[in-house]
Amino acid sequence: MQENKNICKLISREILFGLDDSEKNELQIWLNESDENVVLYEKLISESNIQAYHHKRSRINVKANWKVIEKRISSKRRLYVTSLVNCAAVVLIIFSFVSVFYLLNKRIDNKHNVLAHQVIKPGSASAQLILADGDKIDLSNNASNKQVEFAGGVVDRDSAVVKYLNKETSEVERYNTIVVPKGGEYNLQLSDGTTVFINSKTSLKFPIAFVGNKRVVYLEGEAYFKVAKNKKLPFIVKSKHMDVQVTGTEFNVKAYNDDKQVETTLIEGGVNILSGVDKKEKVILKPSQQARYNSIGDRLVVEKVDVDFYTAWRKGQFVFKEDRLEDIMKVLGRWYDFNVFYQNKSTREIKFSGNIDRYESIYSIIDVIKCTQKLDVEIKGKTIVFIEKSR
Amino acid sequence: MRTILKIGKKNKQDFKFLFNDFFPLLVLFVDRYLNDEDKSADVAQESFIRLWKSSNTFDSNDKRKSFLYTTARNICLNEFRHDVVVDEHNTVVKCLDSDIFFRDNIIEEETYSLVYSAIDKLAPQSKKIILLSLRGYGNIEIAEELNISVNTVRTLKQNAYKKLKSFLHDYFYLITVFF
Repeated sequence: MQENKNICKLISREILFGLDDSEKNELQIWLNESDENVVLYEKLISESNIQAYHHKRSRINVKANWKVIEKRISSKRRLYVTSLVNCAAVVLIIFSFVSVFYLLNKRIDNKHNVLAHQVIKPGSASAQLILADGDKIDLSNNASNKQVEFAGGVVDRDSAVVKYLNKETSEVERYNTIVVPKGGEYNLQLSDGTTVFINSKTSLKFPIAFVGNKRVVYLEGEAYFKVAKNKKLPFIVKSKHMDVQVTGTEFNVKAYNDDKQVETTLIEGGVNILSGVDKKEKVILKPSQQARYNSIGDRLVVEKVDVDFYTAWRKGQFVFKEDRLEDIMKVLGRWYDFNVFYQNKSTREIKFSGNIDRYESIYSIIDVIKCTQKLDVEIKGKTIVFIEKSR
Repeated sequence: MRTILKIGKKNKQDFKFLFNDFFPLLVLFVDRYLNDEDKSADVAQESFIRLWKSSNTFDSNDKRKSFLYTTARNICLNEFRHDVVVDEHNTVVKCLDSDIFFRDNIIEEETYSLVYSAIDKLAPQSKKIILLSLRGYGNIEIAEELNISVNTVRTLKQNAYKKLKSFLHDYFYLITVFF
C-alpha cells in the first residue's frame, strides 16, 4: 500500500528531474520484483506516452462536465423523511456513519436549546504569542491590522513570524511561546521554513532563530509538523515524556498533559523517538507508524495505524472509534467551552463511534447521544450532565 | 410519530473541488479500459454521481478516490463484455479484469497526476518550458520555440526544478490509498 504511493512519487520525480542514489536503489528494488513493474515503468517514462497523456488531458473540459453532473445531483432534494418507531437503532447507525447531522424535531428540548444555543460555542478563540521578554501579543484574526508592533519589532498575525528591529537579538537563541487556548487553532511558521499546525489547548515554545547544531521546540498539547528538510540540523520536538527527532518530514504529535499517553504518528519520512526513563529508549518510526508511550506503565508501543484517523483534526473533524463517552467529552472539551458531569461511572464508559464536524453545534451532538437512548442528558448554561437511564 | 432527519449535509462545494481535481484523472483511467474518450467521460461522470449518492461517509479524499477508481472499473467491466484484448497474433495483450491491470492504471494515473499538478503550479513561462522539456525538447529548441534566450531558459528551468521538488514534497495528500 505504502509501496505503491512511494513508487508514484519516485517515478514522478524521475520524470521531472531525476533521482538521487538512494531513490534509484529503491526504484530498482521495485523493478526487480516483477516483469510487469519493468514494463509499467518503461511505459510511464516514455516521451510518447507522456505526450499522449498530455494531449488527452488537455482535451478534457472539466467545466462542461461539471455542469452536467451538477444538474443530476441537484435534481432531488436532499431530505429524507422517515417514519421512525425505533429512534435508537436508526440514530445510532447514523451517528456512526454520517459526518454532519442534526435533529429537527426537538419539541421538548427546544426550550433549553434556544437559550443554551448562545452559551456553549465551538472554537474560534485566538492564539497568543508570548515573546522571550514576556510581552504578550494577541494573534486574533478579527483585528483589522495584519501586523502588530511591539517594542522590539513587528509580528505578523497570520503566521506568528516575528521580525526584530535589532538584528543582533534575532541571532541569539531566545524562545517565544505560542499559546493556543481551548477552541483555537493556529498555523505557525518557523524561521527555517517549518510549518506547524497547532491544535486547541496547546502551547509551543520555539526559538526565534535556530542557532547551534540542532533545532529544538517544546510542545505541550497537539501539533502537526511539516519540517523543512535540513540533514545537517536535526529538528527535535520535546514533550514531557517523548522526544521526536527528525531531519525533514511530516508527523503529528499528541502530548496533552491530561492524557494518559503521548502519541506520535508519522506521515512521511523517518523519525527517531526517544522515550522512557530519561528518554533513553530509542525507536525509529516508518511512515504510517505510530509510537505511543504510556508514562504510568512506562510502556512504548509502535504500531501501524490509519494516519487519516489521527490527523482528522487538521481537516476540521473529530473522529471517534468505539471511544468512551468520557474520552469523547474530553476531546470535545478542548474545542467547545463547557463543563461536564457524569452521574455515575457507568455513564462514562458508554461507547460511541462517529465523525463530527468541528464547527457543528454541540447541541446537535448531544441530541444524537440522547437519541441513542443509552442515557439522559441535561444542559444548564455551560454545564452538561450525563445521567444513567433508569429502566 | 414522525421525525424528520436530515442525513449527512453533503457539501456541494467540497464535491466540486474534488471533481475539478480528479475528474480528468478518472477519465483517463477509464480510457485505458475503453479506448474511447467520450464513453470514458460518461463512465467517469457516473462514478462521481455514485459517490455523491453513496450513503457511506468517506473521511478522507484518499478513500473517495479509492471508491471512484473501484466504481469506474466495475462499470467498465460490467458494461463491456470483452475482458480480454488480443493482438493480431491472437496473443492476450491485456486482461482487463486483472488486478495487475487495475493497479498499473492507478499507478499511471497517480504518477502523472503528481507530475501535472506540480507543473500546473508553475508560472506560465516556466510551465511551458518544463512541458516542452518533457516532450524531449533541448534548451536551444525551447529557446527557439518560445522566442527567448537560452540563458533565460536555463535559469527558469533551474528555478522550476527547485519549485517542483518542493511541490512533490507535499504530494502525500494527492495520492490514493491502494489495497
